[in-house]
Amino acid sequence: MTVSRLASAEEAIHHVHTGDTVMVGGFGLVGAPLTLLEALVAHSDATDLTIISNNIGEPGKGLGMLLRQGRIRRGISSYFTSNPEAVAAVNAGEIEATLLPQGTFAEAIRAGGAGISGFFTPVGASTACRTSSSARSAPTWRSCSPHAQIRWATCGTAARPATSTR
Amino acid sequence: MATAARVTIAEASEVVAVGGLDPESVMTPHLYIDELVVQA
Repeated sequence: MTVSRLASAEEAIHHVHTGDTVMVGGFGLVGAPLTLLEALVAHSDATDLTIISNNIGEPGKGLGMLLRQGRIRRGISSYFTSNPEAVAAVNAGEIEATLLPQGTFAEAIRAGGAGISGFFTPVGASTACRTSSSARSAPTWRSCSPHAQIRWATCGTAARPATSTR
Repeated sequence: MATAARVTIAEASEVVAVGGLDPESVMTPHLYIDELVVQA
């Protein structure tokens, strides 16, 4: 852990590299770090990004700028409909989408940060996905496919999207 | 979010001197923050 210091957005954004997973705060554009996102768009060539954020911005705004540049490979979110372009990109197979219920999404981030390897959610319990073979046989969150991860998170089994180092 | 990340960059709308914030209103303590950027 380093001591925090004031940096320019252009300096700070160089922590982001191609293939990285980037968590972005905000609910739509509200509370989103728009200065940092503009720096990421203008001063970084990091691509193939996995974005963990509530939404993928709005058309051409916030994360929507990054989407238009084709630099998002996968979005882990609660809903995409604030940005119809993100919905279209998913339907066209241009980006992968992992959509989690809002509370499951927030708790997965909190649990990852707290070093909790899984948690119970009743969402999906007693439904068809509860009995899916991939959900039952997957040994760990990390070893299963993104699709199976969604099932895990929604089948009352476990959820953990991020590897914690703290 | 900050606890689940390897590197955390915070974007603040305003930076104030030490003591300028009520400790009770701090949601993310500084030790989780690697880079602090002021909003343009």
